[in-house]
Amino acid sequence: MGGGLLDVKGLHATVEETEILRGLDLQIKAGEVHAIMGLNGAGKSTLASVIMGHPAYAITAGSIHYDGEDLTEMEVHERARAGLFMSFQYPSSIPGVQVGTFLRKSVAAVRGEAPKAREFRKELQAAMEVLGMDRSFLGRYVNDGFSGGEKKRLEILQMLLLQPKMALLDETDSGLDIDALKAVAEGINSLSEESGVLLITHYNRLLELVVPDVVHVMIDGRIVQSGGPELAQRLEADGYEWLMPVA
Amino acid sequence: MTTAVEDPSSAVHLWRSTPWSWMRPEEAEPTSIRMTLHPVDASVEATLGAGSPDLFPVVIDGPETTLPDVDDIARHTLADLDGAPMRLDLKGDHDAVVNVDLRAAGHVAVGRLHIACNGRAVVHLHLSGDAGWCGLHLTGQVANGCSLSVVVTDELHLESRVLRCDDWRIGRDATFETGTLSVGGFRRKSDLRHHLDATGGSVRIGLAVHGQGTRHDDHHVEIHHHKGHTTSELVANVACAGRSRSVGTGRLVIDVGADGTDAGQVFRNLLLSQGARADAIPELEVLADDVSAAHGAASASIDSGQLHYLMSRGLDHDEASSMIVEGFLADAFRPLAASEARRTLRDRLTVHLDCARIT
Repeated sequence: MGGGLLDVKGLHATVEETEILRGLDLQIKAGEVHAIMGLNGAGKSTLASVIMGHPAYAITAGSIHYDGEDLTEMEVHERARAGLFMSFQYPSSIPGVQVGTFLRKSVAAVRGEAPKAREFRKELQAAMEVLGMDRSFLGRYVNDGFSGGEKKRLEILQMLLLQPKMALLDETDSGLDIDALKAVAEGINSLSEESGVLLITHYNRLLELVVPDVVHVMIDGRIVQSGGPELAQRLEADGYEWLMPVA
Repeated sequence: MTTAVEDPSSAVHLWRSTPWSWMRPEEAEPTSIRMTLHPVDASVEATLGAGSPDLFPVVIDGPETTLPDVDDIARHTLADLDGAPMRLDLKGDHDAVVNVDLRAAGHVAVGRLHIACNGRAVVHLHLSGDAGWCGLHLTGQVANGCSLSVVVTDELHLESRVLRCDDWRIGRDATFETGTLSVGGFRRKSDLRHHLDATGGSVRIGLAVHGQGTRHDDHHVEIHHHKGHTTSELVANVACAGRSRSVGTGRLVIDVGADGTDAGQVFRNLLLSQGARADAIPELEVLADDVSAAHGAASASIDSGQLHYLMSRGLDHDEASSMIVEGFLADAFRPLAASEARRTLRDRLTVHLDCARIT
């Protein structure tokens, strides 16, 4: 399937019968960091949701292979157990479910066995230190009453514990202050060197802290331009006008 | 029965969804619910002993007794059947939970318990047994400035019918909070009444109901603000599966002159199957001018966004659904300030759901 960790070919996808992705191609190899930028409504978040298997989206053409397997044949939880992770732009709150309980069960599900309590505590503590999180977080309900920054930190905390092979990070930098952004970036950078990362972002500021190997520009459901980190700098300076199709 | 009391018709609000004929005990010699107080810390005082009939709102004093209100038929029946009411006296501050086991056995089991609190305490009433019909009447008085949390859990046999009545009176600057985990019995009617008798009083109620199979659970909760500057909060979370049915009515009454009252109640229903049904009917009777009173009710199935989120973290569909249901029910206990009360309820809920999954 082309040797990538994630291979997306000719992908078309719809939501409520509206086509959002219109023939998208993307390949991410193990250890690579890719960034996707684009205007609102370009289909960036849709791409992440389709890869993760959100039931609201329907694939109408094309393929997605992950680690050589046809991802579209896998249930959402099977994708997670296979090492795929998505950090949500707007993660759901789950009232009544404590963060600590949720993390332990999630880690057990992905690893296929419950972690030993003492080791898990150490692991958790180390990850929370990276992100500058307080232990009181663990007793709170998942994303319930969390600020935007707290939600993003919890997403990255999960990523660090689950150690995915492939992480899809959907606007993980939005709404973060400078300190939180640095903490989140440190979390992303501490992922295994073998992990692939797809960053979806509007701004170059995260890409200054997590340097991508490839930057893509997405317009109208397709990738229209790819390049190095300098592409993100140009977008920051010039916007997207120069990439828009001529009417 | 020593007195002739007519059955309320199905037009009577309290008995509209659960007719009295469904809840009336069968003709059998009643046995008393066995009440056992677990040992408590020596530094505090908790005594369980014989109570007297006048601690309960309906006193049967002969064949001429008449009901002041047809709604009181349940209380009347419990008084009629139970000749040996009990009382629990609590003094001082109890840091640990005071545990009382209520064991209901036989065809018809009945018990009445009055709790008098002159301090700060968390009481866990654990109802269990295989009684075919179980009737329980709880009353209590929280003295001025005192604080009482009462947790009620039950593991009654799945084929039991349960009739429960509560009458609580809360004094000046006193706090009463109660959490109920309703999972036992196949048919249940609860009529829970709370009276804020003096200024500064506060009531917080958390109610979690789990319906399975054809279980029928009807909770009627009344909160009366007799005086001003009192507060109340009710959260009722109901999860219904199978062909179970739940009814929740919340009657909030704010008397004339009870200005400064702050009251809120919310009923949330989570429907887990096509055949499940849950009705929530909050009611307000506000007779004072300067009050804050809010109420709301909502019914929905499991949120697809929550489900997807948890599945994206490796939980399969059933595991994710279970986690959402458990969280939803546990969230009913959010109003309770006493962490021991919340923990007790949460632990019981986890055990119940684990057992439900296994069976």
